[in-house]
Amino acid sequence: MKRLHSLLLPWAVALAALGMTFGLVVHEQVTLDRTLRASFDLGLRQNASRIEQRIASFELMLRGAQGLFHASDTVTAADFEDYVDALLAGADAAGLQGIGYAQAQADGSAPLRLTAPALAANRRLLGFDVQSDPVRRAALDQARDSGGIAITRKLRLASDAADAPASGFLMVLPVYARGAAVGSLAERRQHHRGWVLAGFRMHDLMASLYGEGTPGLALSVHDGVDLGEASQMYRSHAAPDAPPRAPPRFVAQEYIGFAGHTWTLVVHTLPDFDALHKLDGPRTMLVAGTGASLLLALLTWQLASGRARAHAAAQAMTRELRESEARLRESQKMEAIGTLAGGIAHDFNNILAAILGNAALAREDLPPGHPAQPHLGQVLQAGAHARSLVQQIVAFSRRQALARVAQPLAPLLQSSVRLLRATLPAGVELQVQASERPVWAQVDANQLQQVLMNLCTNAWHALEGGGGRIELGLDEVWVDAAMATSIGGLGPGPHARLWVSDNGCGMEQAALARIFEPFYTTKPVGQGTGLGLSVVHGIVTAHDGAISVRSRPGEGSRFDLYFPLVAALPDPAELHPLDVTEHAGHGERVMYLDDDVVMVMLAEALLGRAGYAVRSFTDAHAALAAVREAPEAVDLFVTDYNMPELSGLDVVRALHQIRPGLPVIISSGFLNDEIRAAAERAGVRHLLQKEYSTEQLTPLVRRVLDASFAD
Amino acid sequence: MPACVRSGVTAGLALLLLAAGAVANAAEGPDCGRPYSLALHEHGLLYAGQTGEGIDKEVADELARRSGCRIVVSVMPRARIWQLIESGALDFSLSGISNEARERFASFAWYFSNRYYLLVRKDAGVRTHADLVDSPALKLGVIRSFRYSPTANRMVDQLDAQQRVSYASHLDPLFEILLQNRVQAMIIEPFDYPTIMSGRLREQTTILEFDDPPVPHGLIMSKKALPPAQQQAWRGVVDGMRRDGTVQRIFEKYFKPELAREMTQF
Repeated sequence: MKRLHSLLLPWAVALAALGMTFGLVVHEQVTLDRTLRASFDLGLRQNASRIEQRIASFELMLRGAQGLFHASDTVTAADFEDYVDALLAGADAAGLQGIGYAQAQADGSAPLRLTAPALAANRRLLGFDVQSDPVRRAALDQARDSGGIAITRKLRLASDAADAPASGFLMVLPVYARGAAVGSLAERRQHHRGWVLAGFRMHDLMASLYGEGTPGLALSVHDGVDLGEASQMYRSHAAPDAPPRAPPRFVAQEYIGFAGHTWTLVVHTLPDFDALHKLDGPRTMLVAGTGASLLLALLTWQLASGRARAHAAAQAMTRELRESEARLRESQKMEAIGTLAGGIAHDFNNILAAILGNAALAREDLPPGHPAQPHLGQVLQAGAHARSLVQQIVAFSRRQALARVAQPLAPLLQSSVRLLRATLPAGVELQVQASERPVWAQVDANQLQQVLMNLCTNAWHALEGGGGRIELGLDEVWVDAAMATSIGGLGPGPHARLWVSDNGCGMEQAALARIFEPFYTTKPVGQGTGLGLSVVHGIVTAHDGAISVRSRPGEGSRFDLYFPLVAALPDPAELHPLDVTEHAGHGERVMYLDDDVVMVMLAEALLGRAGYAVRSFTDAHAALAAVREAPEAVDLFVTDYNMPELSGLDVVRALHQIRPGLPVIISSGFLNDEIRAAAERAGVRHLLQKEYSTEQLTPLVRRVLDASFAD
Repeated sequence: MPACVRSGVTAGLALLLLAAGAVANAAEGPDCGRPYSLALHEHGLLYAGQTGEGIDKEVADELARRSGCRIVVSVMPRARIWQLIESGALDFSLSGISNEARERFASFAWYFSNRYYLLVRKDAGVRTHADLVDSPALKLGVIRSFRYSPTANRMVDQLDAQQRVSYASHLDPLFEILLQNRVQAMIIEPFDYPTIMSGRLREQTTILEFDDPPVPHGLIMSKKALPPAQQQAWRGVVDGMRRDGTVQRIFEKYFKPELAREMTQF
């Protein structure tokens, strides 16, 4: 519900904001349309008003001329010209071609008696009968009968050339007998004497009004209400050669009238009308409003979902913390188990060394056909198995010494694959995906192979029906902080990744949580010891690496092993396990020190039988005293590492003071890196894992002696 | 008393007497100390430019006769008349109706009232004025600056907002474009009856009524040109014309007696 609320609210805000934006845009558009329309109407009205005012001013001018005749019965040509010249001063008279007086004759004609200004073109009109054509006659009759102004329809002025366009008009006022009453039509007709007339060219008149025209508007003037070419008197813009791409935004007609005569003004917008007004306001508002709406919605979402997201983040952090705590507890548990197992293994090694050694000696003492031989063989076999088991326990507890060498992992992987191919049944498909780029890590080759073998064995056992696919892989990955935290036990940086996956039965989550516990197994009784993955865990951890496991029931499992990536070659001072070669002695003097009597007896027997002169001690002080008494009476000193009062290293340091250069071998039930490093610092170059005493003691003694003699 | 003081007191008394005389004149009748300007507009029986005759021409003549003042009469478009009345450049006009905007710059002396009608083409399919509004293809022709009865004003404003109004300075072009079907309706008054009753207009058009009461028409007086006392004096002249039946007689020259009485007795 909260999630729905956190989603609905931003949408509602977005819709509301967009709605407001749309409303504002529409309002802006309507306002803009109204503004445009008002601007157009103003232009139209201004055009009409200016024409009306100009015609009104011409009417006044003509009334002045009319008044001249009403004031005097004897208006001479000179009087008329002087008067008209005074009237026509200035640009406002533009368009007016001239003023004349036509005298009404009894025969109905009306010849022009006076014209002004005194131009040749006007003088030529003297005597022109203005009643000679119906267009002029209609206006003259209207003026006479009404006593007011009259305007002709469009015509060609008499002063114009015969081929000139008919775009002029006459304005007419009647002249009556001076002082006569003209209140009625009959009186006006009775006392009528003539007319004053003014001739206009429409284009000149309009030019005096507008100059270059009204910006953005095109204007045409038509005589009457018809809009055809025949009635057109004026046009502000030439007709376009091609029809416009879009119709004008506005078109309007205004009908203006003078003395019962009508002119039609047709006004329409030009393309630059839009350019004169800023029309991009609504679009800008739409873009800005939409952007602001989305930002507002985003902000609302941030505010609305902030609590939920903070809660989710807190949950994730809590989950990670709990997982981290669980891993820490698991690690501590494994550490404790490892410590316990290691301690047991150490004591077991001493016991096993004694069992194996003495059993081997007993077999040598008995003839081959002796009935005890098979039993001793069983003892040796069981002892070897027990030793192997102890080695695995030591490996898990990380008490087993590592021979870590920086080396490419691909050969190790290939070696394991070859071994697996020979082992796995034909129904198991083994695939390898190794990175072409060399991937190096500092590893113990033997232990890493053991890891791979253990994992592949488990994978094989997980394949249902004995068939399936096992995949081994190797590549290089960059572990970031999040990934390192997720896996645990790693630091950020480049890592070598080895993986073993299968498409077997997979594991339940409960099993997955316990797979690294010693002696935990899901296999049937007799198929597994429960130590395989514990050993894998111990070895990988001892390599400063980490394991991640993914598995789901029915979908197989995948184990990813991460080791810190290295580029350097291994340290030459690193100690290597000794090769085992048998070498008999020739009476060389070997002094053997161990607090365990059984081991002393075993060593005496092994070395004695090999031809060495053995002098053994169970007390370190006694042994040192013997050396101090006769330093040159010993060729090699073999000492246990872990003894009461004096450790093996203490003995070594004392021996170096008594007899510098005396070869020394340290033997121990377990050898870890710490012991190896301490031994090296003490000058001891040869170490013996005590549980291998039976096989390795004599060859090692031989080899050390040979080396010392060579020096 | 020094001579200069005596002469100042004398001048002050003279001014007071002149002022008192002016107030007395205002109360009695219009001040004819200057010529007045009155503008007519061509509108059917009110004034026809072609004959120079009409109801308003006669009313103007009667105003001049009764007041004894010189009144210069001219003819100009109605829109121009309202502009000049507002600016004070024109003293009077006739047959004007009021509204809130006009009350700010003009006062009125009513002498008749009439209703407005909608003249529509028969082929436009218009039965009520609402039909005209609801048909986007139909246009209305009106005289610029004319205002009418409330319902007619609303209709004009509504159509103007939809760019469905053609404007003219007088009636004649509107009748012409109505016959040409460039507009389908126009608003008329009783003064337009003679034109409507003739020829093609009678055949092609019909008349619809607005449900509004008659609208009073009267003498328009510019508040800028005439002080309130003079406005009242001229209003007295008009009232006198109504009282003694002069207005009704003028109207009876142009209308049937019943209609003339209805228009002037309101």
